[in-house]
Amino acid sequence: MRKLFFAFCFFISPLLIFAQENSDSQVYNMDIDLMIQDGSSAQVVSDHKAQHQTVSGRPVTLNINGGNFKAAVRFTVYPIQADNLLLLAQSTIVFMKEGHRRMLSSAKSIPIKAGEKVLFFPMGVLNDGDKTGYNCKLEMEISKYQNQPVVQE
Amino acid sequence: MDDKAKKDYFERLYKEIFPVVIKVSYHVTKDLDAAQDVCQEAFIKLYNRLESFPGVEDAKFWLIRVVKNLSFNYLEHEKVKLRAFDKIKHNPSFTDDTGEKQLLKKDAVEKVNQALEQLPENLKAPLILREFGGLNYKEIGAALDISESNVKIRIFRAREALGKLLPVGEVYVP
Amino acid sequence: MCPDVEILSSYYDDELEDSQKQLVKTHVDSCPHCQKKMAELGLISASIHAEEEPDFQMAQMNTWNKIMDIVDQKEHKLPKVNFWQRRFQISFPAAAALVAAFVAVLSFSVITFYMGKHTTSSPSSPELNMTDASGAMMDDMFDDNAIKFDIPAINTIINAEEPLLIREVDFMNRDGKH
Repeated sequence: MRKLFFAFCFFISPLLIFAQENSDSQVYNMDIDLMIQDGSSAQVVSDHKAQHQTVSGRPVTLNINGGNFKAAVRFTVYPIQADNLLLLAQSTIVFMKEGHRRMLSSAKSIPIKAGEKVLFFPMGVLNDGDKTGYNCKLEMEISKYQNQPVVQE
Repeated sequence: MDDKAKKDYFERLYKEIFPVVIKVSYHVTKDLDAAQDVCQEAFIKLYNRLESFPGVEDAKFWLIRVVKNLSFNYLEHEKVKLRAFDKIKHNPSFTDDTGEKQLLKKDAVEKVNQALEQLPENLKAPLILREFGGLNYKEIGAALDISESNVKIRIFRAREALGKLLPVGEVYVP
Repeated sequence: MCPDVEILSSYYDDELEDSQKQLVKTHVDSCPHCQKKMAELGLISASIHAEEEPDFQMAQMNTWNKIMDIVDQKEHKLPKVNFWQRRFQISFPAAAALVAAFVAVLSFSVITFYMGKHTTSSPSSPELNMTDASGAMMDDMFDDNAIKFDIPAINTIINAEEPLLIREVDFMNRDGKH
């Protein structure tokens, strides 16, 4: 499966480069790492990685299914100038609290540089006062898509 | 211009300009059917006086102006019709059923877009031509028959109006 | 010291003369205040672009048909040019974007499949019902095209604080630990 995946990327990379050269839209590579961390010890109890390509303005949606909560996160990248990008993070979370189903929606934005690591906590961060529980953390790195062969790991 | 040449030229103009004007019209009217009607009407007008334009650019800017006018006219007529229903239309509808739903904070995206809808035409048109039409200041000036400097000022003012709704805080948008 | 916001707006649109542009760029590159202004301009653009757009390609074809009907009628042209015989070219960026979107969707399915092998979803927690009473999806972000992550159910995860979007370096500084 892995070989197929990389062969696939290699196959489509000329097309993506073509898209980059021949349209106004810059192609971006998103490296996404979802981590569930213990609030007090910071131990990572669950870790999932994904990689995705997109163009400016086209959102990337993640659905996180955690059993007693569900989160949908939509990331969109916009160029500001050169390597300066704007990252828009829209999130909707559904969870159970005190026997009731709750839903919260939000939109956040941050200016970042291509290649800079950014964190998104769709459920927020546990308060300093009370660290029992877990933090759900998305680590993201957005870089401009380069014309390089995909490296096998 | 013989018939075939005229059709070919018209088709070429259509393929080049339609993508721009449909976007512009849609973002003014917020109604795809209306936008299509507007663009259809504008292009037929273009066809009927195709020979009168010295070049592609003249036709393009004329067409954009026609689409802009028709789109804003549509908006005016709609406003009159729907004034009574506006409150219902713009109310975020959160019907509750089994659990509580809370909007953490009103989406900035929603706020900015509502503000955009309410911008006066003289500010809204240049901004939409810039953001959705992809035109530069000079082209916008040609399309709207205003100076480049005027275009610059109006776009700036439009953004100021929309920017007022963004928080002063650094990192996030509530 | 800082240029007028009006100038930044022009800079954002890449409408400054080269000499002025260079001066502004040099200033902005080292001025957090102006960088924030630029980010706000970006956010305004992002917000107005954030709403989904309908299918303009279809609109282009449909409108062309209607125009041709009217034009041909006027000129009493018979028979009507068969639309399907026309080579209707999609602009190159659109074609490239379509191809990219298509392969992107395929890549996701591959990623999702690959990911699926390494995750376990807990069968013991009651499945959260994502639909309201009418059966309609509450939010279009919970859809089939999303990248899916299944994580083990951890019942104490919910703090539901304000979501936080922050640069890693800033987070490390504020927290003092990982």
